[in-house]
Amino acid sequence: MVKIDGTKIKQLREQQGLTQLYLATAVEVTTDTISRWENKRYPSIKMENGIKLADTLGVSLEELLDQEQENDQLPATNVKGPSTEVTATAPTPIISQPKKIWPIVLLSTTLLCVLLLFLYYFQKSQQSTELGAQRIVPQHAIAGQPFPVVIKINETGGVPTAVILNEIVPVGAQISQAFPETTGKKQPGNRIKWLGKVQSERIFSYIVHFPKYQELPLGFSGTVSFSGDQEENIQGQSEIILGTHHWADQDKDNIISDKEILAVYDNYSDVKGLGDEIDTIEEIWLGSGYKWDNKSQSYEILD
Amino acid sequence: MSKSNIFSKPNHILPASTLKYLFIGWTVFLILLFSVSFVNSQVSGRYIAASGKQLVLSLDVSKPTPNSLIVVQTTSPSNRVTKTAPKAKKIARKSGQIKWLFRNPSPGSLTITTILQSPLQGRVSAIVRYRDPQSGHFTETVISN
Repeated sequence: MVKIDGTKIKQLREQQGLTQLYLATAVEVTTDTISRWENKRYPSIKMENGIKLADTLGVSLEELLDQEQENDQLPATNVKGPSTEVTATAPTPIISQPKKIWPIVLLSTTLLCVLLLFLYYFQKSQQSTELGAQRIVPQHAIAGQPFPVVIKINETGGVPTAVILNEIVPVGAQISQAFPETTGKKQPGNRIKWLGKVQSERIFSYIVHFPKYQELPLGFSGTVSFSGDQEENIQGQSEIILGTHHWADQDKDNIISDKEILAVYDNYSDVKGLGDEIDTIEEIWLGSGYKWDNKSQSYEILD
Repeated sequence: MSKSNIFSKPNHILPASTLKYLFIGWTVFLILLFSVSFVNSQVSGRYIAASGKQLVLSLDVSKPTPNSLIVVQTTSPSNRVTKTAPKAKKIARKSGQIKWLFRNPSPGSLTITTILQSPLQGRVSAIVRYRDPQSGHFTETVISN
C-alpha cells in the first residue's frame, strides 16, 4: 500500500483536462474510488493502482505520494548505510509511453496514407494526359537483319490534331517499310517525315536494317510538332548497338523467354510488315533457343 | 481546468490495450486498402477439374485486358497428353509442360482443357504470364489444384 496525496492527484488531473471517469477507466476502478482518493477519504491505495494512476497522469509514482510519508512508503533500494541517501525507485511501469501518442500516430498514419493515395492517382491521371511522342526501338540488333522502330504519339485534347513527325535515322540505315507511308518526296539524307492527324494515340512505325556492321552505337533522333506549335524532341530509346543477338532477345541469352515475347507483342505487334519476324520469334520462343550463323546470315533454332 | 485540445481524452476513452489493437487493426486496413489500389490483377484462375483424364483450367480475364497471355501448365512427364482445347502452342513431353499463347484475349472467362491418355498422375499446376496493360510490368500468377 502507498499513501497518496489526493490534492495533487486532483490538481494533475484537472491540469490535463482529464475526467474522473477517464482515470477510473485507466486504473480500472470506479469513479467513486477516484473521488475518494482525491478527497483523501482513502489516503492509502494499492501499489499497483498507484503505479497505474501515475502512468495515466504521466508522472512518476513519487510525485503522487503524500510528501510526509513518502520515504516510509517506497521500497528502499541501494541502501549503503545510515549516512547514505536512500534511493527510492518505483517499479517501471509496463507501458512507459504516454497514452496520448496513440491518437497522434493514428491520425498521422491515416493522413500519410490518404496523401500517398492522392499522389498516386494524381500521377496516374497526369500520365494519361501526357502529350508528346515516344520512340520504342530495340537495344540491339544483328547487322543485315530487320528490326522495328515504333513512335507513339499521345494527344489528349479529344480533337483530331495535325502532327508533323520528323525522324532522323543513323547513317547507313535502310528503311524497308514505313507505316503510314511517309509524306512527300524522299527526304534528303537519312530523314523521314510524316504528316498526319492524331486523336488520343497513334503509332508511326518503320522497319529498318543496317547492311554493314558498325561498331559504335547508332543514334536515332527526331522531333514532333502539334498544330504548328514548337517542335519537341521525340522521347524514349534513341540508340541501338549492332551485335550477334536477335533484337527480341533483350538479355542476350540466346533464348526468347515468355517475358521477351510478351514485350514483343506489346510493343511491336501493330507494326505493319513484321509478320515474318514475329513468326521467327515465336519459333525461337517455342524452341530452346537459337544460334546466329553469320556465314549464312540465318538463325539456327534449337529444339 | 486546462483548455481542452484535440488530443484531450474524451469522456469515453478506451484503455491503452484497446487503443493498441485499434491502431494495429487500422494499419492493417490501410495496408489492405493500398494493396487493392496498387494491384490490379487482370487474370486469376483455378482448376475446376484436376483429376482423372480431364484437366480443366478456368481463367478470369478482367479489364483492362492484357495484349497477350501465356499459360504454361505443368504435370508429371509420365502423363501423356492426347488433346488440348484450345490447341496448345507446344507440348513438351520431356518436361511435362504445355504452353498456350492467347493474343488479344477478351474479358471474361477463358477455359483450357487437357485430355490425358490415363488418369492424372501427380499434381498439375499452371503459371499465367502477361504484361500489365497500364504499367507494362511483367506479371505472373500461379494456379495449382
